[in-house]
Amino acid sequence: MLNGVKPLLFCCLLISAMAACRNGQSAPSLKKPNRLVISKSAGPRTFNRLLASDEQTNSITDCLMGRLVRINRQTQQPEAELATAWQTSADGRTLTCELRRDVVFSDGIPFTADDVVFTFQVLNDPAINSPSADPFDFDGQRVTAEKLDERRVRFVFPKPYAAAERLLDGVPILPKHLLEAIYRAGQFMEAWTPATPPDQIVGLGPFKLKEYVAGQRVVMTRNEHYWKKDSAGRRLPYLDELIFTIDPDRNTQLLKFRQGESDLLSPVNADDVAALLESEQAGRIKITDLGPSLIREILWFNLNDEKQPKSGHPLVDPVKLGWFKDVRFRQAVSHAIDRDAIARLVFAGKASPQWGFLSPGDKLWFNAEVKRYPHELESAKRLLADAGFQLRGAELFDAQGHPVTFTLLTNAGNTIRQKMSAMIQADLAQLGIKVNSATMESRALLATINDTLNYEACLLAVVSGDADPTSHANILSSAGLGHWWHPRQKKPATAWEARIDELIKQQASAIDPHERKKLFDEVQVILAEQQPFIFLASRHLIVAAKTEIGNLKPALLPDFMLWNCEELIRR
Amino acid sequence: MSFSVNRNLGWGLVALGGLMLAALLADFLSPYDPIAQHRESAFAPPARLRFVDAEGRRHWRPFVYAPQTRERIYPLRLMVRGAPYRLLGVISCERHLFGVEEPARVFLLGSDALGRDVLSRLLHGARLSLTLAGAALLISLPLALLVGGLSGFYGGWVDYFCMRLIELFLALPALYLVIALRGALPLSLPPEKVFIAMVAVLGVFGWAGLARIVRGATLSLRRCEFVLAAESLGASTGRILFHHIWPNLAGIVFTQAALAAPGFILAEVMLSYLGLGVTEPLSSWGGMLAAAGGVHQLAAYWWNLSPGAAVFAANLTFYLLAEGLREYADPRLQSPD
Repeated sequence: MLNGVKPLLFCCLLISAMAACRNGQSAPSLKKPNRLVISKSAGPRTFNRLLASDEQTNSITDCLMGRLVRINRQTQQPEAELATAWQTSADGRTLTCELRRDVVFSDGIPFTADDVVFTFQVLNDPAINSPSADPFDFDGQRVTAEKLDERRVRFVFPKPYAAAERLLDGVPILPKHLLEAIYRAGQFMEAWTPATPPDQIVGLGPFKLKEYVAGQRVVMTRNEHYWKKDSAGRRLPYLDELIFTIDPDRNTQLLKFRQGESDLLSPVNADDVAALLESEQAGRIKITDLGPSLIREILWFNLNDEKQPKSGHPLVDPVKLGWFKDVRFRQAVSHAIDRDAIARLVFAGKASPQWGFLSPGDKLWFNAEVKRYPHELESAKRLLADAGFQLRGAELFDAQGHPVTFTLLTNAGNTIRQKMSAMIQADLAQLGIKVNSATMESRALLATINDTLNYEACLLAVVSGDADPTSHANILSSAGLGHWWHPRQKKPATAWEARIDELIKQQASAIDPHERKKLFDEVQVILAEQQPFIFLASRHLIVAAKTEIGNLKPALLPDFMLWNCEELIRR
Repeated sequence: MSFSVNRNLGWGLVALGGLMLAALLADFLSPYDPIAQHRESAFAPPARLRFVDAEGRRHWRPFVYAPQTRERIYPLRLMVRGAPYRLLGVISCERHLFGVEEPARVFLLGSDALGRDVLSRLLHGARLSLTLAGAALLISLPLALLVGGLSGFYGGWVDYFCMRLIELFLALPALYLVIALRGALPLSLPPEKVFIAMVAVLGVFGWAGLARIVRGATLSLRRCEFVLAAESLGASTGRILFHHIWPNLAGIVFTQAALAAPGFILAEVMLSYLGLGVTEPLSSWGGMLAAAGGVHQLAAYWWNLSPGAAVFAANLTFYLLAEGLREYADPRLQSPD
């Protein structure tokens, strides 16, 4: 046995010695390539940005594509990109954009108003069903694009819409000269798949595709035709190459970053920060805590009073529904939860207690003056007593003598939510409420809260895609699908939901930003008072990058680090 | 057979007895309520029992300090008053084997992310894991005996049918089926019912391998002279199975049962890792390991890996027992040392 091991060991030694020699020889002559390496948990599902629906694909394809207006992730304000100027009409229904001159696609063909009109034609095509089209849909009516002349395009909205130019951030401008024929042939859905030869994928972004090895890496090189120049007149981007390596496992991503194989890591889990501190002290990397992110952890009760379509049973036990619908019950639960402890224990201190609908990271719209529910058991007990609940021994009973218990649903395999769930259980036990916890695989969970609706309470998070009130309409308006506590209402179930509907509508057509802010402040006040979502905490967004990467402007809106990839530089 | 000859069986039984006793008396042995969250001492490292205080004085009784202070010592006391519980599910009790006065805490195996005592959770987890293994065996063993026994005894088309059934169960992708079954169960099950569901699922999927072994053994016993003699004297099938075949299978069956138990314990760990195990606040070894977190968290708070050691110890016990049982049942196979 030992005889067999020895030669094997010797071979290993030999190979490692050879490898060491090779490294030793080539190291001095190796010039640091001017490129950036980023770990992604999945490869792109498509290179067609208009068809991209997941975060990884969006983030990768955004580097290839140009858009008319870009939201500066740091200031959260719109900035001119392919449109040099824009103007909203007095009635708030049309937006006219002036297009940038002398811009060419990565294959050298000039960019014109026709490309914009073509892009919107595809975007509005119901057969294409682009995920990017949702914000442009107004109760079935779509925003249309008209060509005024070679350099001007006009967008017509079915309804007055404030901050319309922000929506253009989500629309990549497609090359009409390449894709029109494909679109006319009805093959748009099959265009620009991961199998398409890289040179056929053409855009207005700072980079162009060089190579995609499925499951391994995406390599991009600089687009020498990119229009943007720095203040010294040097053509951007600064980087020669952008490489996305595909590492599905988070631990692998972390290890690769720690060993210097990748240059950026975003977001960094709170638990993983400790593992990076050593590298930071050595000056190799910089960790940035951007403060409360736009991900807010929430707990809500199912307020649906409808019946199951097949069996005719109520979706929620009417006794329990009675408690859930009582605002005092929701407020008492809110008072009983120790948000500081959640922030400290679940997020290793890298989170802030969350009180209202918006995260403080939503700089322009956040309203700090909303009702708060600090951890006060006495206040909670008083509210419950007011609502007719009685504490007998360690158990809480309602006015009819039913013991108060409910099942809290959350997604399986998510340790953060499971810890929160255990903490909420312990907190509510102090009020005499027994909470059972149940977990479900994420897709099944979404089906339950969106379609079958037969659950009692749920623990999840809401994430903002953009820092503008209109982008929350899906959650806030009573007819919305994301109005999780009672989705798709035919007419508002409560007076306060009707008021929110009205405010959302008013702010969408108000043009004056101060007026909009005032209207949206009221929405936040109502939500805090009524607690349909009990907001718990917002985790901090933490990102890390090698210190040699310059011009980074990390921000709370995705992509947190790469949104200004044309400016990034390797020192 | 003397004890010294079959060390494995002896030690195995002692270890299993110890484990079972620990599980039964978990409430008494654990210093804290396994679900009590001491939120100010999350991720506390294992308590250091001291004999020498900050001034250098020796104490005969081990003691701990309260967090962040050295002003007072808190000696470890036996039979202390603590969280109330019901011993063996009946006797109301609030004495715990050991503990320290508040505000000091004695987390002998440290605390988890929410400040719960790992030792207390481990002991209560033992109760769950051992019951699970035992209950799953109670389902799968009779099934295996029945199907395997009938198959081996009758032969012919019964054997053919039973063997295909066994193969079907062996060939099924058990993990996916278990996940699917768990997913099909109603959502708002209290943890106790989830536990029962897990037992049922594991038992139903665990019998096939056992049944094949039972069938083989029955087949060879079937041709033994004493079985043939009983048959020629007109004994009924039931009598032959109950009096002649199954008693002679005892050795094999117990050995196989001891070998199967670790599989059930590991299955619980796996299901919990996938988030399909018993839910909070019940503590289980798998649940504790799943909550222990990623590579770096485990490296920083290594004591949260202790359920892993417990799984290892429990499985080792069962393997010892299996080896001992095998030797006991079949003395011919013993090594002549």
